[in-house]
Amino acid sequence: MKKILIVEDDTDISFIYARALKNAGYSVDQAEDGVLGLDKAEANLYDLILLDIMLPRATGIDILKEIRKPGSKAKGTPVYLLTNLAQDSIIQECFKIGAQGYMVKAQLSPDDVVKEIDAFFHKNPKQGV
Amino acid sequence: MIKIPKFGILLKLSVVFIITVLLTIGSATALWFSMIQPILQKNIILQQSQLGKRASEKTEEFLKAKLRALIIHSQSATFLTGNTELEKLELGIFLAQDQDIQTLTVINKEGRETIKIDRNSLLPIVDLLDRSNSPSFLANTFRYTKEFIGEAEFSENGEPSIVLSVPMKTPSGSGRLTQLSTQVQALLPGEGNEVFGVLEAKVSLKDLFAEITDLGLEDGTVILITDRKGRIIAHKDKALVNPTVVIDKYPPIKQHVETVNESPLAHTEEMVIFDYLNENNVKVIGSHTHVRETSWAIVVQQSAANYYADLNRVLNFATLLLLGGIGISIPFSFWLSKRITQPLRALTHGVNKISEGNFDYRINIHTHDELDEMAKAFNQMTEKLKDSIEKLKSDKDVIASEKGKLEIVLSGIDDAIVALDHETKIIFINTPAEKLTGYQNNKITGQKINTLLKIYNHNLEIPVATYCALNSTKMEGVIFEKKAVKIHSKGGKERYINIITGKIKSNQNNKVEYILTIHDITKNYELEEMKLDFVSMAAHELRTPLTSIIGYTQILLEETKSKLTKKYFDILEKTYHNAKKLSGLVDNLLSVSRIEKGTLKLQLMPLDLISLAAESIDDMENLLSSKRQTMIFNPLKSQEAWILGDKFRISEVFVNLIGNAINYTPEKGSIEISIKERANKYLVQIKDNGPGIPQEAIPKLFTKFYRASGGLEQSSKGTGLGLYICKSIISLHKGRIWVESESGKGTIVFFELSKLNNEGRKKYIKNISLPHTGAIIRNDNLLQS
Repeated sequence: MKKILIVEDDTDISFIYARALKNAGYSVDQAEDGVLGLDKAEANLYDLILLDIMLPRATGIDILKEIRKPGSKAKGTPVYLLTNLAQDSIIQECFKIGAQGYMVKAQLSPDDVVKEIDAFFHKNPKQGV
Repeated sequence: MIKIPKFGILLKLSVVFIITVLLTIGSATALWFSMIQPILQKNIILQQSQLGKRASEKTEEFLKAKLRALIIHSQSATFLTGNTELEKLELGIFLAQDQDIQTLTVINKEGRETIKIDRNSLLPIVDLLDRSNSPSFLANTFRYTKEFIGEAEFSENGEPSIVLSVPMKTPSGSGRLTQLSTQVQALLPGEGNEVFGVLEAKVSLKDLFAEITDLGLEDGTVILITDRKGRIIAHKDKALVNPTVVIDKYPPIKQHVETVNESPLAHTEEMVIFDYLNENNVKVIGSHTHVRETSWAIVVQQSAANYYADLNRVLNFATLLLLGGIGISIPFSFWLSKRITQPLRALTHGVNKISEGNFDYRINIHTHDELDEMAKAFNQMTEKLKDSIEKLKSDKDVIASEKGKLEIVLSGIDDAIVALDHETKIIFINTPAEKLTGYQNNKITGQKINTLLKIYNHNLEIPVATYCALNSTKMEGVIFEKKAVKIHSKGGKERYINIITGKIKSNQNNKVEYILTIHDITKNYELEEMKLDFVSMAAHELRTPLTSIIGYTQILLEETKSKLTKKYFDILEKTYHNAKKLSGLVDNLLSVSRIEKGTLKLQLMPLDLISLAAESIDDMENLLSSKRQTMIFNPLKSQEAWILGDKFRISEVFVNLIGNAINYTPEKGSIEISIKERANKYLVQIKDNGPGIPQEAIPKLFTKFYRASGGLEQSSKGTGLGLYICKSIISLHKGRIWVESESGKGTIVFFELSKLNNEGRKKYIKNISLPHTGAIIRNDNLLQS
C-alpha cells in the first residue's frame, strides 16, 4: 500500500482528500503545517507528499527546498503541490526545486486528485526508496 | 528712410552733359581751327608771294628795261664812227630819254673811260678814269661778254643807284674797229661781235625803291630789298636803309644771304614764311623773293599781329562758342536732371511714407512720360497693398478671435492635447498635458515626441511611428486609437490612458500635423484593476470553503444513500448540485477576471472535439434528466476531430453552451449537438428549441453581464458571463463564435476552430490523457533524483 502525506492547513480540505485517498486504497497521513510536515516526511518515508503552499510558519516552497536538500532524508520523496496559487512563476520555481507535479485545488474535485495520483503511481511504480 | 544719394542723377547727368558739350564744341573748334590755320597761312603765303613777286618783277622789269635801253644804245652806229661828239650826243639823248639814268659812261677796250656824262652837270665830265679793274668793265670784256648788273650803291645823301653796263660789239660780219687816225676809226671786215668797249650807265634806284616800298602800304606790309650781303638797300623807313650794316637777324634776309650764292636753279619755288621780331620788337612774318638776275631779294614783312589777329579772332570765336555752349548746357542739364530726379524724389518720398504705414498716400507726378506711368503703377500697387493689409488685418482679427476661442475651448478640456508637426516635433501641449507629462509647454516645444512621453501596451513600447504613422493613407482624421495603454513620462510617472491620434494637413505648407488626444483613465484603470483583483481574490477565497462544502456533501451523498429518506436525500442532492453550481459561477468569475487582466493562459495540446464534447455531455446528464430534456449528439462520420486547444478551456466552452441550451430550453425540450467539417475548420453547433433570442439582443449577446430577457428570466441562472467567457476563449484559440436565432424559433450557437493536421498532432503526443490540464501540471523533465 502506498503511503501518502498531506501537508495542508485547511482541515476540511485535508479531511476530504484524505478520505478520498483512503477510499482509493492509499495509506494517508496528515500534517497541519510545514514544520510538522517536514518532521513527518523525514521520520516516515512516504511514496508521495501532497504539499500546500499557503501554510503557517513556513511556505510550501520552503518545505520543498528543505526536503530536497542533499542531507534530507526525504530527499527522494516525490512531491505534488496541491494549492490554489496558479502563477506560472511559482509553478516553474517549484519544478526547478524538484516537484513532480502541481495541482490547482479549486479546479479539481477529490476524485480528480485521486485519478491523477493513480496515474502517477501507474507511471512511476517504483517511487520512494 | 531712403536717403538721397551723394552722387545723384543731377550730378551725373550734368557732368555727362557738360562733358559731352565740351567735347563736341572743343573738337569742333579744334577741327575748325586746324582747318582755318593753313588757310590763313596759305593766305599769308599768297599775299606775301604775290607782293614779293610783284616787287621782284617790277625790279626785274626795271633793270631789264634799263639794260635793254643800254643795249640798244650800245648798238648805235655812232659808236662805230669814232666821233666823240656824236657819241656824246647819243648819250645825251639817252640821258634825256630816261630820267633814272644819272651817268652814262663809255669805256674803251683798254678800260679807260672815254666819254662820261652826268645828269647833274651840263658839261661832259672830263675826269676820265681807268676802269680796267672795275667789275663793270671786266664783266663785259673778260671772257664772258655779258651785261653787268652791279650792286646797289649809295650816295652821300643816301640815294641808291646801280651800275649797269653792256658790252659794245661790232656788228656781225664786221671786223675790228681800227683807229685810222686820231679821229677816225674804221671798221675793218672781220668776224664781227667783237667787243670794242663797254657802255655803262649809273641808274638811280630811288624811284624804283620808292615804288616798291610803297607796295602793300595800305595794310602795314613792309617791303624791303636786301642784297647779297644782307644789307637793307631799300626800305620805306629811310632810317633803316643802311648800306654798311649787314643785318642777318632777319630770317628772310638770312635765308637769302645763305642761298644767294647758290646756283639759281637751287632757288626753290617754295617760299618760307618766318615769324620773328622786327627792329621795333614787333612780331612780324616775312618771306623773301629772289630778284632774278640780281643778287637781291624782296623781303615782304607783314605785321604778325594781322595774322595772329585772324587766328585770335578764330580762337576767340571758338572760345566764345565753347563758353556759350557750357553756359547753355549747365542750366539745361540741371533742368533735365531735375525733370528726372524730381519725380524720382517724389517716388522715394512716397515709398518712405508708405513704408511708414501711410497707405493713403498717393504719388503725384505729371511729367507725361514714363515716370508718370511709373507713378501711376506705384499708386495702383499702393491701393492694392492697402486692400491687402486691410484684409490681413481683418483676417488677423478673425484668427485672434478664433485663437481665443480655441484657447477657451482647450482650457475647458480635461484631456491632454499634444500638437506635433510632420517630424513629430512638439508644437504645443496644453495644461492638462503639462500636468500629465510633467513638462512645460515653453520648454518642450521643438523637441521630438518621444522626449515627452512613451506609450506601452502590456509593457511593450508602442513606437512613435505606429501612433504617428507618417505614411498612413488617411490624409486627415483619426489615424490611431488605443485604449488602456500605459504612458511613461518625466519622473517615471506611469499613467493609464486612452490615446487618439488625429492627423491634419497644414494649410501653410502641405505638411501634416498630428494632434494627440490623451484621456487619463488611470483612476478608472486602477479601479478596474482593483475590481479585478478583488474579484480574483474573492473568487479564490470563495473557492476554498466551497471545495469543502462540495467535498463534504459528496461524502454525505455517498455515505447516506441508504440511510436517508428520499426526501432528505433529495435535499442533500440539491445542496450538492447548488454547491457545484456556485463553484461553477465562482470559476466563471475567476475566468473573467483573468481574461480582463490578460493573464488567461492557454495550455495548448491536440484535442479531439468529439470526445471532449462527449465528456461534457456526460457531465451535464443530471441537469438534462431533471428537466426531462433530450440530447442528441451528432458527431462527424469520422471518429475524431483534432484541434489544437486548451482542454480545460474548450471543455468550459462546451459546458457553458450546453448549460445555456439546457437553461433556456423549457421542460421536455430537445438539444442537439453536432460537429461538422468545413474546409480546414471544424464547426460545432449547439441547437435548442427554446424561445429563441430577439434580433436586437443578438449583437450584445457576447458582452459581459448580458442576460437575454426571455419568458424564462426568473429561471435563468448565471451571471451573464458565460457567453463572454466562451467568446474570449474561442478568440484566444483564433476561432469564431456566433449565434443564429429568432424569437420563437429556437437558437443555434456556432463555433469553429482550425483543424490540426497529423504533423501538428505529432508534436503534442505527450500528456493527452490528463483530465483537466489547466489544473494539473506535470513536471516531466524531472526524474527521481
